Amino acid sequence: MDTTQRKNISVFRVLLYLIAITVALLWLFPIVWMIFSSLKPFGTPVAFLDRVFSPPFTLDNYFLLPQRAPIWRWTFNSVLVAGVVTAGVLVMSSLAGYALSKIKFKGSKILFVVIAAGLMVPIEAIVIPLFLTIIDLNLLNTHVSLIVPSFAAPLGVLIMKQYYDSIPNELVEAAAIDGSSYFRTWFSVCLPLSRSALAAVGIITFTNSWNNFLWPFLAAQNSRMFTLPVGLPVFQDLHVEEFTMPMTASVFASIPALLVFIFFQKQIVRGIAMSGIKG
Amino acid sequence: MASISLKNIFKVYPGNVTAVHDFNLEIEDKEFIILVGPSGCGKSTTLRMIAGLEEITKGELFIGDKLVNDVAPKDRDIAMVFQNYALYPHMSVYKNMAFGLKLRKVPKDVIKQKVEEAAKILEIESLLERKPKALSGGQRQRVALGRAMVRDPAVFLLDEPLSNLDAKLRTSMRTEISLLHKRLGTTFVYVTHDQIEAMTMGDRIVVMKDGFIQQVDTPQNLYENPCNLFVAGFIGAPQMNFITAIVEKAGDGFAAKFGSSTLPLLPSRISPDTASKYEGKEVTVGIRPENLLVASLNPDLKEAAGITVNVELAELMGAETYLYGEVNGFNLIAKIPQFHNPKPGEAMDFVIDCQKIHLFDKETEMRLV
Repeated sequence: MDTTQRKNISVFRVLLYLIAITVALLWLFPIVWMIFSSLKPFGTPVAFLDRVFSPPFTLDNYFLLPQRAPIWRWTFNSVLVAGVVTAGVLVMSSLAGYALSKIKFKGSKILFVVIAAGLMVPIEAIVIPLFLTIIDLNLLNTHVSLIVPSFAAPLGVLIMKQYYDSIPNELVEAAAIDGSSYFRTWFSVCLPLSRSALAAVGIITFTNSWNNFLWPFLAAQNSRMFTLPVGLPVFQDLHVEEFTMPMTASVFASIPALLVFIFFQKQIVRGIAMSGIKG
Repeated sequence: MASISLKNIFKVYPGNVTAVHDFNLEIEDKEFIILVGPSGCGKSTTLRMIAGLEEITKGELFIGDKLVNDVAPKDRDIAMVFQNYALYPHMSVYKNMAFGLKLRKVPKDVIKQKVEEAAKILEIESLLERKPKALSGGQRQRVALGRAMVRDPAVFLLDEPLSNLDAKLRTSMRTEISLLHKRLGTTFVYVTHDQIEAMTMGDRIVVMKDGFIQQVDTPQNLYENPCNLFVAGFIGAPQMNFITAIVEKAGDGFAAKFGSSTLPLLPSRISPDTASKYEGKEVTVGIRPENLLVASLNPDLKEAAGITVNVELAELMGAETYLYGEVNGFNLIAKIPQFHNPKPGEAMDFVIDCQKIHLFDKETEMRLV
């Protein structure tokens, strides 16, 4: 490699770093702004950056927040909904993916196409019939209505089926000869081997469910049933001229998702790569 | 322990692809039977039908006295060793071997005893806590055998179990599997495409081609009396030489003539009645490479015919030499003693032991007797 070539590469690398740093700063700025705003005394105008980033700082807003909004209840709802949805999607996707990949039955290919086609149906297209169904079942304002519709997760089935396809059939056949039932083979052989796919599906489902707005907004009409993404905008509407409190609520709401991201960073990246879709 | 009976078995895949045609075979209790043939001949499909991993399209399969066509693999009292071992990667060697017994709700102390016993026989006692990825190919194969052994099955099914091993290990495992069969006294059905494995291990060999059984016989009979051209060419390494010759009257008897060479057709190889029917017609003469003998080393051989081979290549194999040459437009291979190392282009005199030639119909490719 000659000197000119080496110089070109280093210039290219510097440019690349500059772009990456700029994008990171653009992404980080609103978060930092949100955190600093939440630490300002109640009533501080947050539009003036010099005032936001200079003392005094206080944690008062964090103590005041639970008194002004049922933030703990919303957090509980969000954790419950996201947790149960994730668990349900994991069980159903892995079972469905296993059946589609490893069990021979008539119509399995058509069934797979039908499930995959579900990826192309946006939630907006089914939200009204779903809402009417929930009303008919008298499930409005219940955790069941927030949770159950999310169990249908074609992306999860797709990822799990794809992963099970990569597990040699001989393992399943060896288990069958060993005396294992279909269910036992799924549980004892395929499931332990699919931990990375399960992590990917779990994280995608958890983050999607945590951020889900439209369906919980419709299904939960009582403020006690709100999840954080539904409760926060309502809370913000009550503070149209005061922003430190909504900023505090936003920080509060971000913490669980942030923790999930910190602990499962590797799996999230792998999950995005595995699904080919941004989580 | 159990016998296996396959009666008029067919396997037809969607698209009307018939993988196995009218397969009939009686496997004796404690017999070591080998299914051998080239890729796509239906040997693995047959084994998988015995295992219950493939549905039988037509016909009846009995294990012992029980018709098992619709019996699930787990209820057939069989164990199978797969080509790629199929060990559960997330389980230790012990758990791999114990899995089948655990599913059958065998008490823990009995499982422990059986696993340890099998591990001792297979010399894998020190590997019991390891995961399969920490094992070599040979060790994985032993674990796969152990997993089958602990179940005390009536039938052992082995699907090309040695094909992923290197040549040296394959040879030693071959011996070990044969010894294991003797020790366990169980029926073994073994699939391979390697005719050396077939010849060295089996009590009987089933040669298959295109889904049809070609011949079922002992290794020696298959070698000495192949029923058709395919079996003659498939069994034996290097493979049998084939020459097209014309049957002619020679004195009181008959002879096969090709080019300037004449091979007397002895009544022990072909009856005069049969030979007379082929007079003036073409037949295929089969000569095993070891029956092409160096003339100078066998001056007194009776019932022999001499030919001169133009040497093209000599391969030194250690104890012997494979000599590739040509005679009257036919390519021949001879297996000769190692100390002869002819140069390419050299002409070398051979004698053919006429007691050991094979004759086949040119059209039907069936053996003439």
